[in-house]
Amino acid sequence: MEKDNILEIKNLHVTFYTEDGIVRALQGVEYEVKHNETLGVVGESGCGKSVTSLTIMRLLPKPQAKVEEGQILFRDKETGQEINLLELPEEKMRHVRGNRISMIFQEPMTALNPVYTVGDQIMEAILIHNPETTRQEARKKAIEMLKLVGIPAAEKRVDDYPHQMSGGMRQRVMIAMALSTNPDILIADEPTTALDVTIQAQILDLINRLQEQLGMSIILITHNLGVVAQNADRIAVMYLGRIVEYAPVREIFHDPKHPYTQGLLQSVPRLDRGGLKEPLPGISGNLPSPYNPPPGCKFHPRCPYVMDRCREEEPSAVEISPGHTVRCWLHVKGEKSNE
Amino acid sequence: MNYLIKRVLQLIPTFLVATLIAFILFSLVGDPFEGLRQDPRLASQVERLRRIYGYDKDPITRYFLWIKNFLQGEWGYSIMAKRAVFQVVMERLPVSLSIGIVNTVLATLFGILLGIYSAIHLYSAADYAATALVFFGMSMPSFFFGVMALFFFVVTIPLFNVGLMTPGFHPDIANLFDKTIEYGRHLALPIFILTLLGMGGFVRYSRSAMLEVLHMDYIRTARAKGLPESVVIRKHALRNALIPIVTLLALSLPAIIGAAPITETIFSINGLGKLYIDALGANDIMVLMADLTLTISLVIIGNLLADILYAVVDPRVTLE
Amino acid sequence: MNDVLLEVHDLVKWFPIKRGVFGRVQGHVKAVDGVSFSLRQGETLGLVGESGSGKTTIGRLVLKLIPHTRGRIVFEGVDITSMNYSQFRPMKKDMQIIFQDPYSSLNPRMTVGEIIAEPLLVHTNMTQKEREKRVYELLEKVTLRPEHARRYPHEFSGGQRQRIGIARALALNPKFIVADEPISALDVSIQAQITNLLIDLQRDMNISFLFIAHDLSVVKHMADSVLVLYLGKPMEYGKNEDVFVHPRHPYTQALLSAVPVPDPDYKRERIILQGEIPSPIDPPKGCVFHTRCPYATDKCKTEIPQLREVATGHFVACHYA
Ligand SMILES: Nc1ncnc2c1ncn2[C@@H]1O[C@H](COP(=O)(O)OP(=O)(O)OP(=O)(O)O)[C@@H](O)[C@H]1O
Ligand SMILES: Nc1ncnc2c1ncn2[C@@H]1O[C@H](COP(=O)(O)OP(=O)(O)OP(=O)(O)O)[C@@H](O)[C@H]1O
Ligand SMILES: [Mg+2]
Ligand SMILES: [Mg+2]
Repeated sequence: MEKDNILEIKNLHVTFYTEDGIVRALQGVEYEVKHNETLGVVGESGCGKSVTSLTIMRLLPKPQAKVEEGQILFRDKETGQEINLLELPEEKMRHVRGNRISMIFQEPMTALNPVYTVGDQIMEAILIHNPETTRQEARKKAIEMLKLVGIPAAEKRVDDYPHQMSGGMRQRVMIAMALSTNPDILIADEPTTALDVTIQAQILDLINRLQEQLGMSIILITHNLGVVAQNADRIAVMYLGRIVEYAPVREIFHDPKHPYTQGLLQSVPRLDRGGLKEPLPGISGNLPSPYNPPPGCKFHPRCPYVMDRCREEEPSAVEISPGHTVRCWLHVKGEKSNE
Repeated sequence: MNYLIKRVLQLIPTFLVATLIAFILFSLVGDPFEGLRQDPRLASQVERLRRIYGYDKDPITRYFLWIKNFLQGEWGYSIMAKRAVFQVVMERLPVSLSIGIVNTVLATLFGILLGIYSAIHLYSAADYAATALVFFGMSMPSFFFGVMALFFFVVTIPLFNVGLMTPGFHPDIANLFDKTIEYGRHLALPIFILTLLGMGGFVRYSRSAMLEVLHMDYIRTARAKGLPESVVIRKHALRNALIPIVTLLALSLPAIIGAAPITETIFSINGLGKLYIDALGANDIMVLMADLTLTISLVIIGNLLADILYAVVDPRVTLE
Repeated sequence: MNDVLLEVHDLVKWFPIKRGVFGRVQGHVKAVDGVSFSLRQGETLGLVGESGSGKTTIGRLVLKLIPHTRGRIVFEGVDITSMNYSQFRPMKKDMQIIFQDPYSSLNPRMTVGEIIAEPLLVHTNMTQKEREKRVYELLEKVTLRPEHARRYPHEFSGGQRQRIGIARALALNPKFIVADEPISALDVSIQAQITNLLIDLQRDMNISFLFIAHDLSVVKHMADSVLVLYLGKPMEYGKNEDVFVHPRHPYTQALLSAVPVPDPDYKRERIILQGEIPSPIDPPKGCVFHTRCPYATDKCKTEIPQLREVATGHFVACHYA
């Protein structure tokens, strides 16, 4: 494990065995998260963004999901030790979950338990990981956290039930809860997708501010390219269970190498450029079914540069410049001539 | 509190309308004293009874007379038993209550526990057993099951007893303990049958309530906090699953006075259910009316209870 | 210049809030409160605003799917607000709607062919043969294949279902389509495809769109003119360029600055609005936006700003614009 990494995912394979068939949800996913950096994970629905984060948390639905292969290495900040989360006994894992690695979800409307006050739910997280804390202290900490995430009149709102708050407020509560244990990593799975743009801006601003203030690494999962462009240091682009491109944020946006990344960027109309009713080049075709993925490179049926080889053989990830990897035959040396 | 008083007051019109409808329907059946007329000796009696119960007036007036009497414990005259209805019903109530309460408590308790257990242990042996039980309870006709039980456990192996449970139940047995045992021998089988058949609904309902909750996002949140699975289930899932279950519980309140006419008839138990069947046969309208009114009252109280409990367990609902 | 197809004058919709057994009216949700706009043939009007700002309600009012409270809707020079159902019925075929959720808006028990043919059955006297032919034409228009007509909605992906919904809306050659968040539920690459399809259809068939979206980038891409709503009230209304290049209302400016732009080096002034969207049941007095406006003064708290024309065709409801 490199020393400025806090998390390294290596060759992760996860499969779902369902009544409708087998879904190879993750096939060799690899990424790393550096100290105090934000990793953005983008991709369209079903590409495996959430499954990856649930695997890190070891919260995959049992018994359908199975981790077939791979490692998730995590560096414990206190001891400096490297641990493979996938091999950690459940008891120890519970100490990581919600404590060293916290998670927030897309739906702030449903992610909080409706029958307990928000204070209770934040205190619960504090108490479970700090057994020596008293309820009074936990309550004080909960109020402090609510203030930190910008909830006005926190002393009063701490006794509110979730239904008494708006969507934006609830997402703030989720953040307060996730950060109340001072985690090393915050996994934010589509934290603003269900929110209005002005509230989205507030929440992203808040997360960035707290990252500076508290120091933590963030895995920011989203399908919104704009959100990662302005909030992530490094981007992983996923397609059908694979990371097809992985690079620092500027390279992804200014010099994308994978045809999928290029297509994705050309799919979104932009506020800063582009004419009225100009056709968007985008990507043709539909997302393939995860039950019945195409052979070879998973993107080849939609790829404008498809070659014979793409239909038969899946490319592996190649590092084309330091910290920039691509899974595409176009970028495997000796293949350029076919272009 | 104000709200509660308002709610209770609102029950009165509901009660009046429901009983009025029942009353008018029974009025259409005809004159309850027709049967007594056959006996010339009772002719003058019949006229008196007709006047007392307003049968010389229009049905609406008669209804108000009935309501007034009913509230004073004058529930009418049973032509079948030739006694006051109140007496007849009160005599039978204890029997029905003992069956009804025990069976409802057992059926709900075991039904809910089994339902929740099988939701947590989805597709386990216990889950399949629970599903089988649900099917059994829902599809097995009580008369068939009852007769089979009667045949095996009373006739073939005389483990249990059947028979009339009259007021001076077994005057020959003086010892209270023995008397209770004997009482149990009479009631155990019907209770068992009703519990087994009644559990099905509760198993199914609580299983699906729990399953639904287990798929909620907040359960994932609770796990992501690092809570042990037992806390996730007990604190986060159970409390939410209980919200619909508690409501169902309150709504099944009427079952405690024994909604079991068939089983009571099979085991010859003189409870309210059997009384109802007998009264139907004898066109004993005042008995039917009394029985129905009791049930209506319990339905209404059950509904109020459901609302109150709902607000108690679910903070999103307020009694305003 | 194209002719004006749809004009809306001072449209108001209040939803009564009823409580209790007897449904006493306890107040009103002022869902739409004094909205005016006009839409030319073959053009697109974008309706933008945050959730609850009344976008969907306007779409439904214009199609007469719900009764309005006050105001006037004029379609092709005819006032449709006062029409009863039978008078309005023949005009309905010119006005269609596409929904946000392609999953719930298609009847799962009908084949795609039946779904698309349904409006033909209701509004025309076409024979079975003619209808079939028309269904194939429509499928081709939305780039689906003829054999798709025999399949059921669940066999299709989200993008394909949205195409089916579009084909159904096109069946009667409408002049006007309300597109209520037609791409919000779709994947990014599919959004681009549907956007392109709508633009092509507009060009080919000279359709006018009332395009409802909360994604401002898409509206900038699609709409000839734009109406910005906040709590049911118009904040700014003008041509695409007026609103996106020279926004005058602080709310429009804040909205634009909140849109994430897919460029890590894009620099701009960020206006982060504080607080939450107030309830439309009890909207703020004066300017409805004053509680979140960074420039609000005492005047804003008491005086309602009128929608003023600050430049030709560019309207702003702000005292200081
Ligand atoms: N519980 C499950 N049972 C079966 N398959 C599943 C389950 N959860 C996820 N999958 C499959 O795993 C794949 C990856 O899903 P995942 O939820 O990670 O997608 P995602 O990238 O998060 O998409 P979205 O943007 O829709 O959230 C999908 O093909 C999905 O069908
Ligand atoms: N049938 C109704 N009864 C009462 N209130 C309603 C009704 N329909 C809509 N509203 C209210 O009217 C307001 C405007 O709603 P509308 O659906 O038009 O908003 P919108 O701009 O489409 O929002 P979104 O972006 O969430 O779709 C909201 O406050 C909503 O709660
Ligand atoms: Mg996901
Ligand atoms: Mg809407």
